[in-house]
Order: sequence, then structure tokens, then C-alpha cells
Amino acid sequence: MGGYIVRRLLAGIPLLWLVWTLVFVVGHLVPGRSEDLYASPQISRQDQERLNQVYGLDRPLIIQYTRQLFATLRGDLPLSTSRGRPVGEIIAPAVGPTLLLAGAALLLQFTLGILLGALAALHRGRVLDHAISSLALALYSIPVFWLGILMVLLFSLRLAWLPPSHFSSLSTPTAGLLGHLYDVGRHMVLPVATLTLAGLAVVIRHARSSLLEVLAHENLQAARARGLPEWRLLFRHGLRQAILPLITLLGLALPALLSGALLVEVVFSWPGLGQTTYQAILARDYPVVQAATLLTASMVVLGNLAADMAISLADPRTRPRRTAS
Amino acid sequence: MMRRGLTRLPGFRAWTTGHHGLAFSLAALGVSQILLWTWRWEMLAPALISGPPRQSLAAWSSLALLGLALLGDRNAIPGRASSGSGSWHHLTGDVMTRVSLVVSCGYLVTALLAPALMPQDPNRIGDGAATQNLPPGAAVHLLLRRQGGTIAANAVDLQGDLVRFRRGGSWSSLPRADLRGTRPADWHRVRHHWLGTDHLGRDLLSRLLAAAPISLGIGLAAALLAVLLGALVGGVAGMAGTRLDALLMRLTDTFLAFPRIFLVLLVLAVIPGSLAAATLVLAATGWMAPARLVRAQILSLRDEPFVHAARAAGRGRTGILVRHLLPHAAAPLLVAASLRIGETMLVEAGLSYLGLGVPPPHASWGNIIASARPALAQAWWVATFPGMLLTGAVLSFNMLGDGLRRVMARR
Repeated sequence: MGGYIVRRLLAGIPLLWLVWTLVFVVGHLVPGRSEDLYASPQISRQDQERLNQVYGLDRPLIIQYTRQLFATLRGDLPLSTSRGRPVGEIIAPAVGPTLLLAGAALLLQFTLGILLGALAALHRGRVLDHAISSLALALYSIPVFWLGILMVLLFSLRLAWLPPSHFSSLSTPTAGLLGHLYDVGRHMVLPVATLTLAGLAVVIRHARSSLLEVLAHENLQAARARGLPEWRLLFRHGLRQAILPLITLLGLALPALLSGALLVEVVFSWPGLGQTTYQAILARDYPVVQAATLLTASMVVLGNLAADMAISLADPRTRPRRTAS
Repeated sequence: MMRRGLTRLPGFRAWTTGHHGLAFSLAALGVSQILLWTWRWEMLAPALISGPPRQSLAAWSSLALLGLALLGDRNAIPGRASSGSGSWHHLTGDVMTRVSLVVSCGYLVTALLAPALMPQDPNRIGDGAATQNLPPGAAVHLLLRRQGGTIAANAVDLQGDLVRFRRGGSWSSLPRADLRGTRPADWHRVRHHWLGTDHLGRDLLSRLLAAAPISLGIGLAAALLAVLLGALVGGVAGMAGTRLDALLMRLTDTFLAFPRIFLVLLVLAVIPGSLAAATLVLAATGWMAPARLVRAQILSLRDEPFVHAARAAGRGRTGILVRHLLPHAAAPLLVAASLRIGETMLVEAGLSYLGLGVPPPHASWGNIIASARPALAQAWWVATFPGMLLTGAVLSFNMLGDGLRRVMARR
């Protein structure tokens, strides 16, 4: 198992390298290069040259590429060009909120999605099934940022139940840890709900179809013949078999989840990784963009690895076999 | 003669006859869409009706191309649907699919005619507080002055020789003699904003209509390009040897594993924003699923007898791919394309919302939603209506794709 994990981690390296290279190429070869940022009339010639030296922009591209790559490998991140602080200081505080948002949404997506999918599968071909499938289709077609705006319009502006943006209140200092948690929780509701609804459709569809497939299996026919009620059959036997494709989906859904998280973070001014990336892109702050994108890509790699490991834990058949060699 | 020439193109027969006619028609539709769209939509309707001869000819021929594309599917002609086995018959058998087909066609026709349907100039900025953030159904009263120029007001009240009018919250007045003509009809006009106005006083309905060809055009064009690119990559990977195949698939997996919007943002942030750039970038990041699809199809067909027969007859790899294998992948590709349109439109809207997709002089449903941000609390309609239109369009294309998939599965 250990060797398998190491091998899978190693297989993620080409992906990360490709992402890194892509960000480098985009940042350096496309018009509007980062060094042009310093070529403004307010900055003197000497300062421009000094800045170019600091960031190594006076070297040939291939040298810059290798030097930056090795610097990244050493964990030696450059300074942010827009804020002049180390990239780590800018990125680190954004990781927590993003993990909180995406994690909560992922959890809710799968719980709700499996429940609704199971309901649809139990009532196959009847009104409830059609209703749930239509709901899934509608959710699949709604732009996530618009959903967020609708939520703000309804729950924050019209009904004034929940705060429309940010991670926690700035004005009213909340008492103690519990007060802070309550405050963050209130701020979380709308973004998490938006992100959950955005990805719910895919889970419902997959859960429904894989449960339907499982329900037709012979062993379930046997259990049915013994007189088990259909819902009990589903939850005790069906889900266990249907869970495997769903775990695979968990890994595959990560890129879409993080894409959605970026939009949701922008709509709700959530101080996460997506928001940081977006602001850095607008400021053409390539060191920050590079680090944030790389971090996002590693999240996807790790998430996929976790999903694969969960599968091999749940299903011994998929464990890597020890071959003779 | 023309036909002879066309049929000599590799794969023309295979693509245009039989069940793949629908695929061909969609492809032709997309191509003509791109043609129309690069050639400036807003000029189309005026050119059709009252343009100079050359423009008019170009516009009508583009439309004719669209019509031809629809007729390209022989099964699509109702009279010729033989014993109800055509793809058209299958497709319209299902109520939901029929509805979605009508709705998507409605969207396309509206987009095509948008310039003629717009009640007002979508980019005209209103006159101060009297025209900004007006709710749906509001009317603006225009007072024409004698020395030229107009005053926009929310309400007008005639009191003897004095005309009182309200702008925003405050009433003011001016002597009747300052206004043009004698009868009220001479100096008074009413402009209706059926869906209200935005924070700059622009008419929302006109902006929504102006955005339709752009949002739909980018969605269609980018989805089509993505599918073509995917077919190319998948075809090459499926036909080529193990090593190139492995490399291409590795690349595909890498692109798939990466959150799409980050990739798109990265590129669009550095290249100057334009419609073409947005389309190309969306196409360049959407080809992965079709590529895998085509590759899988080709791998499953590669050892079929008809492929061996073609090889024995002396056809090269490219010939086999284009003439024999890709037409077989046409059905799933068509489904992939129609499902991709909705997704592409969603990504485009997201990008435009972030300010990096469709650049501001052009309207797109996404950037209209973005323009609602400054006055969200006062004007809910600016954000709500474009989102509804967008959702409707995406929903109808997705339902169409679902219907197509069911038809293909039934065969």
C-alpha cells in the first residue's frame, strides 16, 4: 500500500510540472508580460533595472525557467509583485477559508445528492423520480455566480437574514470563540449553499444511475425475495455497492468544485484561494498566480489520490496486486 | 458540377448521407454561425432589410447557408422521413425534446434578429437620475425643448402655463413656452423600459437582446471548435501507435484534472480581451471530453472488418480515419457537442462576470449580471433577467443534448 501511495504521488508530479510550466509560459511569452509592468514612466531607469535583477527578468528565458523551477522546488517562493510581500504570506491565510468552503460544500453535495438519488431510484419512473431528475437538470443549467447573487438578493437584501459577504464581521467584535464560530457560520451559509447546489446535479444523476444498476443485481434480487422492504434493501445493501463509482466521482468532481469555488468566492468576497488568484490575475501578480494555481492543482492531485485510496479500502478487488516480479 | 466537386472531399458522402446528416447539419450550422458572427451581427438585420446590394447579398447568402445546413439532414425534411425511422422522427417523439428543440431554435432566431428587435440603442447611457435603475415597466417622459435637447423625467404635470416634472425624487418646473410646438403631442414623448434600466440608465431589454447573439454565438462557436479539436486529438490518438497515444492521453488527463476556470482566467488575463480570444480560449480548454470519446470509439472500431477491408483496398490511415471511423463517431460527437454548448455558455458567462470574457462595449448575459453589482440592492432586475435567459438557454440546449443521447441509445 505504501509503495502504491508513493507511486501515485510521483505520478502527480508531471501534472504539477505541466501546470507550473503553463503558468510560466503564459506569464512570460504572451504580450503583456510581467516585466512590462515595471516599464512605467514613474519608475526610473535604475529602479527598473534593479527590479529586473531582483526578479531575474534580465536573464534569458530558459535560465529564468530553470532558476524559477528550482527555486519553487526548494520552496523558495519569490516576492509578490503587487504587494511586495512573500507569496507564502499572501497564500497561506487563503487556504483555510477555501478548504472550509469547498469541504463543507463537497460534504453536503454528496450527502444530499446520494439521498436524492436514492429517492429517485426507489421511485423509478414515478412522479418523484421525474421531479428529482428535473431538479438536477435545472441545477445543472444554472450559472453558479447568478445563483449566488439570487441568494444575496433574497436572503441578505430582501429578508436580511444572513450576511451577504466576507468571512466574518469586521464591525462588531464577537465575544469569545463560540461567538466567532457563530459569526463565521452565519457567513458560511450562503456561499456553501450556493456551491453545494451548483454541484448537486452531477451527484444526483450518478447516485441514481449507479443505484439503479446495483438494484438489478442478483444478490439484491435474492434479498428482495426474502422479503426485505425496498428502502432497507437500498440502504443496507445497495449503497455499499453503489458507493464505489461515487467515490471515483468525488475525485473527478474536484476540478469543477474548485472552479465553482472561485466564482462563489468572488460573488461573496470570501477571502479564499480563488479570490486571491483572481485578484492576483487582475494585478498581473504572476508569482502569486503561479503559487495559487500550483496549490489548486496539488489539491486536485491529492484529492484524487485520497479518492483512489478510499476505493481500495472499500473494495479489496481494486487493490494493487502484488505481481510476481 | 458543384456536387461532383464537393463529393470529392474526403468523407463527404459518409458524412452527408444516412443518419449522420444531422451531425453534418449541426456542423454546417456552427460554421455558418461563426461566419455570421465574425462578420458582425449587429449589421445583419439592417443589411437584410435595407442594406446596399452587396451587403444585402452577403446577409441573405449567410441565411441561406443556415437554411442549407438545416436541410443537409435529409431525414430532417418531414415529407421524406421514411416510415418513421429517421433521426428527426425519433428526436421529436419525446415531448421534452420537442419543447427544448423549439426553445433552442427560438433562442437562435431571436439572436439572429436581435438587432431588429431591440427597442432602443443598448449602449445609450441615460440622462441622470430620472433614467437610472428604473424598475421593469417604467416609462420615461421626454420633454422636447424649443431650443433643442430633451429633458428626461419620471412624471409630468401640466399646471396652466407651467410644466412641472419630477426627476428622481425632486420636482422642478419650467414655463410651457420653453417647450416645442403647441399641442402636448409636440413636446411630450414617452419611452417605455419593459424590463427596466441599469445603473447607467441603459434599457435592459435592448441590452439582453444585444447580448443574445454574443452569448449564444460564443457558446456555439467555442463548443463546435472544442468538439472538432477533440475529434482531431482523439482521432490521432486512436489511430497512432502506443507511444503517441499515451502521450496525448496523458495531456488530456492533465487538462481534465485542472480546474477549467483557472486555466481560462490565466490566459484571458494577459491577452487583450476580444470575442475571438474568448471563443478560442474556451475551445482550447473544452476539447478533452470529446477527445476521449472519439478515441474510445476508434479503439472499439479499429479491428472491425470494414476497416480491414478499407486498408486492404489501399486506403491510408488518414483516409480510414476521416472516411470510415469518424462518421461512426458522429452520433456520440453530436451529443457531446450539444451538451458542450450549455457548459461553454456557462463558463463564458462566468468569465464575463469576472470581467475577463466578453469586453465591455459588447453586451453578454454574463457581463450584464456583472454590471448589476454596483446597484444590486436597488435594482434586482438587472441581475435577475439575464440570468433567467441564460439558464433557459443552457437548459434547453442540455435537454436537447439529453434527447439526442436517448435517440442515439435507442438505435
